[in-house]
Amino acid sequence: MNDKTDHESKRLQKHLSSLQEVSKVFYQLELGLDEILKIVLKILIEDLNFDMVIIFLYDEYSRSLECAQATKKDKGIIAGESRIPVTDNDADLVSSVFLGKMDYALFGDDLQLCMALRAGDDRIGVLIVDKLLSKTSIAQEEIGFLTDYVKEISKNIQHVKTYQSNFRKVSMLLALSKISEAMASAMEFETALSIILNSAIEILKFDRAKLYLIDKEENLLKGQISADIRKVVKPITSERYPLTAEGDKDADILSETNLDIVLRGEYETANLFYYVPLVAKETKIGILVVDNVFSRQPITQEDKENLVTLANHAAVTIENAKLYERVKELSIRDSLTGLYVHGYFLQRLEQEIERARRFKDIFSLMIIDIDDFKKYNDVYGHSVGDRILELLTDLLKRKSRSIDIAGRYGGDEFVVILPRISHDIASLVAKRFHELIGKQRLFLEDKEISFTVSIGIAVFPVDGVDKEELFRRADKALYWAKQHGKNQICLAKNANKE
Amino acid sequence: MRKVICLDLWIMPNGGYETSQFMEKEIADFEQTHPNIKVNLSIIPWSKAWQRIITAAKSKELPDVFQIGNSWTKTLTAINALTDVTDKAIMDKMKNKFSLTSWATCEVQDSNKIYALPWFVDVRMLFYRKDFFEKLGLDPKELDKWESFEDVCKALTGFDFGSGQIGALGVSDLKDQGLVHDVAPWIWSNGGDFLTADRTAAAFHKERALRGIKFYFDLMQKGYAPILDRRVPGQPLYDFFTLDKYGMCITGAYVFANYLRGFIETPLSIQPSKSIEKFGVTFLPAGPIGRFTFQGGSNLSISSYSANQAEAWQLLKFLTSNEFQMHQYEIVGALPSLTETFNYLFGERTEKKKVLIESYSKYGRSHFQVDFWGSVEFILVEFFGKIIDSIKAHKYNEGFLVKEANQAAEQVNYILSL
Repeated sequence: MNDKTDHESKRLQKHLSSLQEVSKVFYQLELGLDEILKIVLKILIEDLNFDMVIIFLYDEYSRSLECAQATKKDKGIIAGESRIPVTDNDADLVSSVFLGKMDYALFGDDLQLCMALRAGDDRIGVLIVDKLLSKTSIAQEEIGFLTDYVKEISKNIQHVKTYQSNFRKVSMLLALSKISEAMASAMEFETALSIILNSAIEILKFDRAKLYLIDKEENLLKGQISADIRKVVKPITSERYPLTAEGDKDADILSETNLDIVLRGEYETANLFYYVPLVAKETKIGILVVDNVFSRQPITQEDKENLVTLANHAAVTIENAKLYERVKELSIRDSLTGLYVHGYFLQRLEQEIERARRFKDIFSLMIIDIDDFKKYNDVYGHSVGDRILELLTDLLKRKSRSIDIAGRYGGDEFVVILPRISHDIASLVAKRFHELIGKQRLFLEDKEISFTVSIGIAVFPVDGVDKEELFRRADKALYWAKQHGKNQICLAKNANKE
Repeated sequence: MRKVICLDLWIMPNGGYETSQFMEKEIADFEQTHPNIKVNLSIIPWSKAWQRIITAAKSKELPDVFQIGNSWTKTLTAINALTDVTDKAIMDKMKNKFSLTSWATCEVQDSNKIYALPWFVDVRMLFYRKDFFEKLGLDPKELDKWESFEDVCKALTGFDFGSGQIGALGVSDLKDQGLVHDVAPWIWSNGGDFLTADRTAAAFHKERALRGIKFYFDLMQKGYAPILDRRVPGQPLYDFFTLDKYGMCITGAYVFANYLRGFIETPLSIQPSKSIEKFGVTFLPAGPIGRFTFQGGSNLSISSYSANQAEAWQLLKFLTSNEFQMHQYEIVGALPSLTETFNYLFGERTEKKKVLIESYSKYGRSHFQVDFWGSVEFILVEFFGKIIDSIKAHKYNEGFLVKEANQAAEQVNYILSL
């Protein structure tokens, strides 16, 4: 009797000591949950005489119990491959234990035992033990001892998961703050888009990211760029989806129907795909779409929250970048005509000279001056003067090639660079332009107003090799045209012939 | 004092429960001969390996050395995860040491660059209970073709040999890449394939492949290959080789170490288990177009992000050495990728060796090397998993199969288009 009591007492001592060891292991948070469970199972199987012990943790995405660690007596840790789908079937003992329908289940001729891992209302998983090899039934005492382990493991798994989650959140906050610094300094539109997508891939660890922006004028959701983990970045401008909501900024532009349109042609697998709207100043400006189609890693709630944070920064960044582009455009363009302003035009002229010099090419510089422009302003008012300027501008834009560079040089003076054009062609172009100008009419109440232009042309390098000389020669040609009756064209080489 | 370099090594369970013990011992030997290197081993389940590796690659947190499926090389090079070991391999004269087919899985096509070393190979064969066959008057030759194979399944199903009614064929219902490997031979043997010849589109939803898929899963539906409701690691194999629950099982050579030690006599065979006489081995049955089996394998790679390239190469060389491969075959049952080791073990022809060698060299076939084959495999696993679930729920029919196949094909085509 004393031997039995003594034995029981020693047994209990050993068990309690093992439990304490388990508790201590969970404090080693730096090991990570996998490693912790490995050690815990080793302690458990040394203490209790089972043949195999397996911990299954619940995965909400697959709605299954996934084997986290398994250990076999005398073999040590083995690699667990199992997945047990959780069902509502009462005959499914493992699921019933997990769902709390029973405290534990003995099955397989009492050779297998399943207990739930639970912390309060949180269902964490199950612990399954067996004696299939030794073929001895699991005793009540063993059930009692295992219950102790289950309690200890359950509460501590929660702590570890909370710790890991907090650690990830802090890391992510730091990473996102770096992103926001990078975004704040990103002025150029293209650069801003690249930073946003690269952040989604490299910081938030999605496989792919795609960005779409709303074009209100055309009522379309337009693809911008996509990036993926292969570092493939490509424009997706061919993707255009009509928006069904109209006008009002409060309308839900990104309704489910619209999203269906976006997703058409793509497949949607639960938790591998997510999108967030980009909202700036309470207005939706687009959407950011991410997926894990390559890695098949389910997108977690944490991932989604991080994406929302990124999207908030992204929307502001995009708006700032657009504003910057607009300001930049304004600073280089004349507000009335939209043509390049004096200063910027000269920059472009210098660039063209450099280009032509390097490639031994030619180009023509044309100065167009409206004849007696002041008279129109004085007689008819500035509004008529502006309309004349607009008419001329419109003609210039319509008749210029895409490589021609046009600017407003002064109040009524316009300049055009015609790359790769010599005297003869420049002369023809100017003549055609001149004729068209002659046909323009403005109707003011009962009056019909027409106007003429004089044009001076200089050619690089024949007439000048730098911008000052070219301008001087073109201006001289213009002056000659003015002096000899206006409403005509003069080439620089002819202006010398007096 | 010399600085100790710590290398992280990820491998998958290549021999089930034997893997960690075996590797820990081998690593200890490596560390003894390389006292400046410590190796930290982690074992990743196959079902999680693809996700873990790709996710780690995204974070640039890959281990120094890691095992990869031999069809993953192209994908992992596409995401810059693997170190180009071409120069090292040339310097150490590696190429001619390995079988051609396994070496090819380490190369990226048209680049002549090597991104891995072959670690081991495997091939699936059909194992059967000779004693059950004898009792029922069945001839193993009847396993030669699909039709007669099915007849054998029918004859075996439900028979009680004294330990309860048996299933004809033990199959895995675990939803991982193994399922794709299990189904593959049946597709190929009917002239079908997973992808088109140019690898730009899915082909498994087309007639030929679908017939093969149907043949395989019909075995489950007809009860010849019963589906398990619960699984612990290696259960169907355990049930076949230890618990007398099946008449046949299709599996790889790794069972030689776990269950059939000494089954194929090699210079390493020490003590054959007594039960081996009960088991026979033969080729997978030939389909209408021909006979194929799945030829698998794994490679070892160095992470391009590893700060310890030189040390990682040392570990790689160790793990692909003759000695290691010999031990690996003996303990884990993984067939050597080194030609010399393979020939040493299986050079002498016996009937069983003939099955192994011809299964590998004559009938063996592998998956494609395409970008994101792992992602494609995932979709296939989901597709085949749905079929298994439908069989369990008594909802499986041809219409269901075609519908799910088309849906899966659409997803695969999407992946391939990216």
